[in-house]
Amino acid sequence: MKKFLLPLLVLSLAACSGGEQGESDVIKIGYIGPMTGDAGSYGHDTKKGIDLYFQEHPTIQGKKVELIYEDAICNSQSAASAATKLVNIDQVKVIIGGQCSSETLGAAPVTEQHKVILISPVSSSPEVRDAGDYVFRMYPSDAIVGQTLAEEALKYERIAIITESTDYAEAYHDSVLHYLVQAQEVTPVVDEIVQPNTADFKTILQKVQNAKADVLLSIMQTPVKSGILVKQAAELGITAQIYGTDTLAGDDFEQHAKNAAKGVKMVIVAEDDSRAEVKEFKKVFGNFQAPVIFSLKSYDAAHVLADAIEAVGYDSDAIKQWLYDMPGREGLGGPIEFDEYGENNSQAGSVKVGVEDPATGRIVFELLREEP
Amino acid sequence: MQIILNGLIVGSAYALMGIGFSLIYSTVRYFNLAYGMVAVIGAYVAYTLMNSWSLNYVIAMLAGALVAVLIGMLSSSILFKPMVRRGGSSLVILVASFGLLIILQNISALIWQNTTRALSISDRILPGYNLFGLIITPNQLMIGAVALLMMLILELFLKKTRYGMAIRAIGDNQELTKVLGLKTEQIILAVYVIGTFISAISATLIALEIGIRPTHGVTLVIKAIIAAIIGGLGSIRGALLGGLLLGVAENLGIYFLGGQWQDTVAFTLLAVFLLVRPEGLFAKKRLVSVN
Repeated sequence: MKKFLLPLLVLSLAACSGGEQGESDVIKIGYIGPMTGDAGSYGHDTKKGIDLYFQEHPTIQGKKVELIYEDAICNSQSAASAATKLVNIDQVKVIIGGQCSSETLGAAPVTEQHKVILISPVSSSPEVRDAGDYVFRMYPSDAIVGQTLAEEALKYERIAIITESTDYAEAYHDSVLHYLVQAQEVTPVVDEIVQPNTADFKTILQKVQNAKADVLLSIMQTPVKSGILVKQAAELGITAQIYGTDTLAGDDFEQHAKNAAKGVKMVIVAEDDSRAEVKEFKKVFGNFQAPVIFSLKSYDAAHVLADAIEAVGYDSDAIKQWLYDMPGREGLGGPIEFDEYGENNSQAGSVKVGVEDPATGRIVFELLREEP
Repeated sequence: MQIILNGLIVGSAYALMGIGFSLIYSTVRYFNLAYGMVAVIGAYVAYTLMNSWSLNYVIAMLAGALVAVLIGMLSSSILFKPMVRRGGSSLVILVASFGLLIILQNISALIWQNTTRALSISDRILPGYNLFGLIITPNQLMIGAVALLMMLILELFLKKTRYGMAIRAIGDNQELTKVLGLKTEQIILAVYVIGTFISAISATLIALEIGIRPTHGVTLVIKAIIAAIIGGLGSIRGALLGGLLLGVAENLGIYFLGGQWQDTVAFTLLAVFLLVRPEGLFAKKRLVSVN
């Protein structure tokens, strides 16, 4: 009996492994993002953007699309585990993710090794540029967007910076500081790095106040941390203009900062509200938990990926080449054209400011149109 | 001065955590790592009551603390007490309490999700008060006032009531109290009630500043342990002073060394005490046999 069991087991395992994807009647697409944790709002909105695209376009090459979501809680180790699972167990050839830069940088070594496409909707750390040949991203690098923040800061005399110690925030900080110090020879009066588990900023904010800073750049990983910092700054009576980055706005930010969010500015890639298709997307999407551009970029990532598979099939090498060769096109979140590093640096940062919506009393971020 | 004030206020919350931990340790003589997580559940319950039932902060805090007390009593009766009865060593109980910490942390993440929940005493963020050039925020005022009140009540309870004196007696010598006919198990349960209640109040106060999330359970128990060890394990006054010292040292470290050094300062302080004065600031006096 025993001698029959072993071959039977081997055969069963072989059957379970799924065999070649090309012969399957479904197209598997993986997703890596923070679906829980303080960055959960990014995961919620980017997932929903992808869902919306595939609800509208449920098949590619006549095959049903199967989406497999993995939660990486904005953490590089979890992202690496998620990528390993998607590549080895689910045998996907394409992954949309990560969302946090830590996730993309954590997943990239796994996907590169297995020649799997990793296309990130919103990771913006400059380090993503060199993450690999199969790594693409929709959102411009912080090396570009960060310059807008630095230029805004230069409108003030005494600059303070508080940065969270994460892959995204530290790289963003370096871009801003590089521009301030190298290009403009301006040194911040306060330049503090805080641990990711820090949530009591009062003593550091005291430093900002003692240094008589008139602008404070808050470079945090999540809207929760930004919200807590803005709240504590308001309680201490800090009058410096606060600027955040693209991770600032969202429900979580407002929940913590409340009325103190009013007047806070953020530098972010702005969506073009004048376009009818963007208006329609907003209407269909419903309640946004994160900035609108995040879901637009994830929708666009799903779109270009679907077009690539439609054109060349479910083959990661062919998809990679198709993406590099893709002529420039207009996505919902703005222009898309990948350079030789797989980056889409076709947009710069814009400034938004928190204003009170008279209808709801809630703080919303509107594009700042300063008087000439 | 402002930095020291900030340190004293956050230190008063650490002190409460440390006092509760020390109080429990003085009677049971084992480390309960789930202590911080039970306190965080109390804060979560307060959050739920405030948001779903629109309860006032103080009432919600007290109700949350009662739920935490229930969980603390259950953990003692179902898990720790049977282990002690079966002769489980303090190391075995330490590991079991770590297991309980992980279980409670994951249950909390399931119920309240893994994000940071905001707790606030008012719907609007209000600027702090200026007292002789020092800024004290409404949240800091609440933390300082409640912590002080809790410490005064505890001091009176331990010194003026029969139960309080029994708790102190059992902390000094458990065997002797048995000989004197005190109901040891009942007193241990009472200590669990008081210690857990204090810790949940502390967690709900700290939540005003940093919000609540499941991982705070680990952070808080570490603060409690450091405060208790600095002060002298089992000493209430020691834990009070240890908590205040920890808060001030952390804030001075943040100001002079930078925000990334906060934890390093806390653990350096602990290491220095373990090296130079391992019995802590207020070592408990023990009855010793004289030959």
